[in-house]
Amino acid sequence: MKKKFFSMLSVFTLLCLGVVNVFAAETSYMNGPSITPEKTYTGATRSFTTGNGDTAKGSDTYVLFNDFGALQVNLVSWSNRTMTVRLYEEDTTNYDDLVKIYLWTFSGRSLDQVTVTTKITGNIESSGDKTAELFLEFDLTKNSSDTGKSGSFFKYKYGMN
Amino acid sequence: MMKKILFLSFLFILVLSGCRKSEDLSKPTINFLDKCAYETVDDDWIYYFCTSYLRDQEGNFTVLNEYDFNGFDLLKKDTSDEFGIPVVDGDTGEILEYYTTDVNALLYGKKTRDETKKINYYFNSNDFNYDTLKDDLTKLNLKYIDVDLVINLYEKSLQVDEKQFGEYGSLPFVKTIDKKISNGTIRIGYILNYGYIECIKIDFIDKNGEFLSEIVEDNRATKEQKDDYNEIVRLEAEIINKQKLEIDNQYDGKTFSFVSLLQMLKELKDYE
Repeated sequence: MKKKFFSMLSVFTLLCLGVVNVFAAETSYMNGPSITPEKTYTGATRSFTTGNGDTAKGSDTYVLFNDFGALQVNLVSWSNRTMTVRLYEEDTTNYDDLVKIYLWTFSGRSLDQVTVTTKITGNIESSGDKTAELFLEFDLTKNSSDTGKSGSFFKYKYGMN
Repeated sequence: MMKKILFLSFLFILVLSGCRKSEDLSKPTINFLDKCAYETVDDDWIYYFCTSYLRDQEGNFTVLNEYDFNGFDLLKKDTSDEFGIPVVDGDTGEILEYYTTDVNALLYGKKTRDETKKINYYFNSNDFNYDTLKDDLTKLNLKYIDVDLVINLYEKSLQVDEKQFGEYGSLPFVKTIDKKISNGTIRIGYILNYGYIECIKIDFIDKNGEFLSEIVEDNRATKEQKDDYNEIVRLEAEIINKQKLEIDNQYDGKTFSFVSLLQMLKELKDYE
């Protein structure tokens, strides 16, 4: 009897965890990846369910960054450097939809400014589908004198309202 | 016999050249050089001016890359300004919000950002002319950054000797970290210059938000607090002198412990 109770409790807990995962509104803050210049870093795909309306929309998605530090010393000080962060909606049958672009500009080895452009404000899923699968791509430009990686110099999270 | 000697010598040379090659592979060639000058301003701020060079065809650092002026408040003591990185709407140009940073910088200050950018823009533009430098910078009408200090730092950066790339080349150029302990927070911030520890600052912030260094400077410290502060100052000097993000004493003070500091330094070293 006791065994049965515990096994049912475990199944219930697992189900709850599954539900939380499927209906998550955002990730927790994660350390940014250490990026090799000129090599695209692609993050994990996560599912998010919108709380706004019947269909997942581009305007509901977001990426939040914070705790910015500086690039590693092995990357040359270069104020023409940029980093492009692209937020995609994964599409298994067609091309992935580019939803938002965050263009980062630098001053020396410090981040100077972020410019955000929303490419799709409307539906990113078919009508009635509230859940979108989102992932991020990071591209850091390379100076020919760079050596090694950027180091993890920011934290980020992403999700959907 | 002669053939054997020649063959053995050949083998010996081959092995030696092999050793040299593996040594070179473990240390990547660094194709830039930073010459940086630093100045402490109002106790908490460290201003710097770096002149960066790239290699020419002969492999010498003669090609000017860029100039970089900025300043850091490593312990984030300055509350006279707000700091953050602007996030701009690409369609409207409107500033939507500010991202937080792990260190206060002139570039991130709402008051000092424009002036820092103007200075960098001037030095990196075709307008830069040493003969008219003072007049040109004066025309920028800087309110928060002293023109003479910038010129002095620029001139000092040119005098810095060329050196080998240092041990800490795979760490962030500047970093500040906090560690919460039972009675407050320990904060450490550093600046690296071409892989060398240029500056490190350590402080303890109590539960009321007061910095140990300020309590000591204001003559409000107990004997234990003074002892702790003196030990911190000694440790900072030790780290710079030895050029190691390590400490080897066993000091356990009232406000911080050796173990906590050691853990934080390890965290800084392992940051990549």
